[in-house]
Amino acid sequence: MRIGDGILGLFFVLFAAGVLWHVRGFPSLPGQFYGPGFFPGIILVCLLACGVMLIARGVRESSHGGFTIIAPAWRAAPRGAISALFLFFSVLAFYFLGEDLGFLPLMFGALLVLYLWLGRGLAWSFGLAGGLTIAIDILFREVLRVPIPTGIFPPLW
Amino acid sequence: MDTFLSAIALVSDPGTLIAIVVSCLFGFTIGALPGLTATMAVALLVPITFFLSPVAAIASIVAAAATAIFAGDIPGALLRMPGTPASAAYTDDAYELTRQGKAGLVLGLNAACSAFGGVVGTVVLLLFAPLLANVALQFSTFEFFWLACLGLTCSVFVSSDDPLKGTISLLVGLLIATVGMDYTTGYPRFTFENANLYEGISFIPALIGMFALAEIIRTLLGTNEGTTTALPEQRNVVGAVLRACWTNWRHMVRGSSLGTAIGALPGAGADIASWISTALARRFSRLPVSWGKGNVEGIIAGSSANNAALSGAWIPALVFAIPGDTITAIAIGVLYLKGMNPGPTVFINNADLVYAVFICFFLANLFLIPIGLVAMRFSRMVLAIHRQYLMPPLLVLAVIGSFAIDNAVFGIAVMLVLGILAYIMEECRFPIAPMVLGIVLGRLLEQHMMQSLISTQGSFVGLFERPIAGILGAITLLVWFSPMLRWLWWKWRARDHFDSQLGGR
Repeated sequence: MRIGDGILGLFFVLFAAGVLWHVRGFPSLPGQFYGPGFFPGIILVCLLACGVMLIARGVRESSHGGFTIIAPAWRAAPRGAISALFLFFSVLAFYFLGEDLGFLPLMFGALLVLYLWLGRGLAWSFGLAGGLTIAIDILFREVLRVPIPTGIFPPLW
Repeated sequence: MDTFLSAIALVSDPGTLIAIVVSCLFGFTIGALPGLTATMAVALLVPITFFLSPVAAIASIVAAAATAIFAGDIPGALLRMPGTPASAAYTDDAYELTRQGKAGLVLGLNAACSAFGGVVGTVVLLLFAPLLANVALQFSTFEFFWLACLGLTCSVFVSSDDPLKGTISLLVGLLIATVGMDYTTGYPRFTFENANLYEGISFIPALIGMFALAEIIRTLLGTNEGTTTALPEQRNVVGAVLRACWTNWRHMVRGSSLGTAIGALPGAGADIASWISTALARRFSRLPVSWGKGNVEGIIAGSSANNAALSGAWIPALVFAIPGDTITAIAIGVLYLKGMNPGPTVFINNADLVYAVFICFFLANLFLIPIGLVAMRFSRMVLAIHRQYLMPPLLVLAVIGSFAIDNAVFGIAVMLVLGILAYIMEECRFPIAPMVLGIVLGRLLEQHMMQSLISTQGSFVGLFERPIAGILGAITLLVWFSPMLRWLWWKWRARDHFDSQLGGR
């Protein structure tokens, strides 16, 4: 993927301006020289200035793709993109369902689906997903005493 | 002496020794896999360190990083696929030697020079860190503010060849660090009424996301193919390694010294040290025509430099609490978690622990030699694993690691968001190191700035009034404005040249 510097600069200018607008709403407290918006304000002004410089660079390089977007290389290989989507939804599943369902079934499910999708056989994927789930669970729950959510499934040990 | 003896007792604890050995094996596995970095090895190790003693935790980080940097040389030499960016500088020569049937010599040199560089870096750390700490005890918030500014600025200029994008990356990191309650007023900033954000962004899940998750995404999206290469047999490898080291001792010493010095610069890590050292070896090479065709000088200089830089990076980390590289950025987090607050006082409050850390450095670097010899035999096995098949368990480890820091699923969300952000930013050619340093140092920078401004009654000029602060401030401003000054100088020179040409007509 390649995004031209001009477009990136424009994004950072708009982003910094928007957040600066938000920071203006931070209260200034009596007796304080500088309020809670002072430090983020400095950062955002610098970010805005850097965005303007990126736009200027984009304008200078406009004949060399300063304002163009080139599609990412993985678009030619959708299998990889779907693997990344699996990853994304696996992490979301841990976040949204982890405490209710428990990490154990989610770990097994994520490993199984990813291995199957990456082209391993059913028996191989089942075996490896099961083995790794048990090993990771022992490591974190038993050895390291991390209170991994058990959810609706009782702990194995 | 009592401190040193108690440090030895701490290190000789079986738990610590086991942690060092296991971390070496872990670091070796991660480092030997092309594309997986020493930083990723350390980031994945962090959740495990929560449950170790302070010395074992730091020892495991040191051991994993040192071994991962060495192991990164193995796929570079065998497959022309550097395992870590630090190995990339001399991969071409290493691979050429492998093709000539000298893989044993290359891997032996990598192990020996890594150990030598690491030991040199540790000696410098041992000698100079306590001295620097004595000076640093005179520092107040003013000096620390400018030092943090200088460190962050260095990270921008050294970690990338594009300072503008480096600066943006740093500013994004600093902005992320402002999330949470304001230091002086307690006002919640950018929290959107989410109680999980009041304490700020927990930087361990952030680091796991930015290094581990971003790398997993890249691997799953990519089309890397794992292949194996047979390791050619070579007799009397040890003798050949010793002869090459003896002949090129200057490159070893120069690489180690340069690596330590570069490593001590905040933001510059083993990668930069390795590239600069290899470039310098080429500049002073006795056989310049053989470069790229199997020259050992670059391998010796680069291998020595990257492990020396690992130790050097701990000098600012321990003395000033400013990370020298991304590995020490993570390690500082672990030090805080373990109650060993880095800074000059750590040499007074936790002297035995600090000396124990130094001993761990020696052990970890000396372990590189036997581990290197064994690794040469087992390297093919590790390289035979297809990288994609390692990603699912690494993903699960990253998720549980992000959860384990606060025992809250919110850490998983932080990891996901910052992992995707890091991936996109790297795709757009933004360096990640300044952003990481921004997240780690942001709160510290703001605290020192606000404390200083409160004591100067809001006057910015007051930030320069103390002598050391004034010097540090002047240097920082000089670095900030150097590109503009350089541009003005060139403009002036060009106009002067033009005027003299007109005058000549």
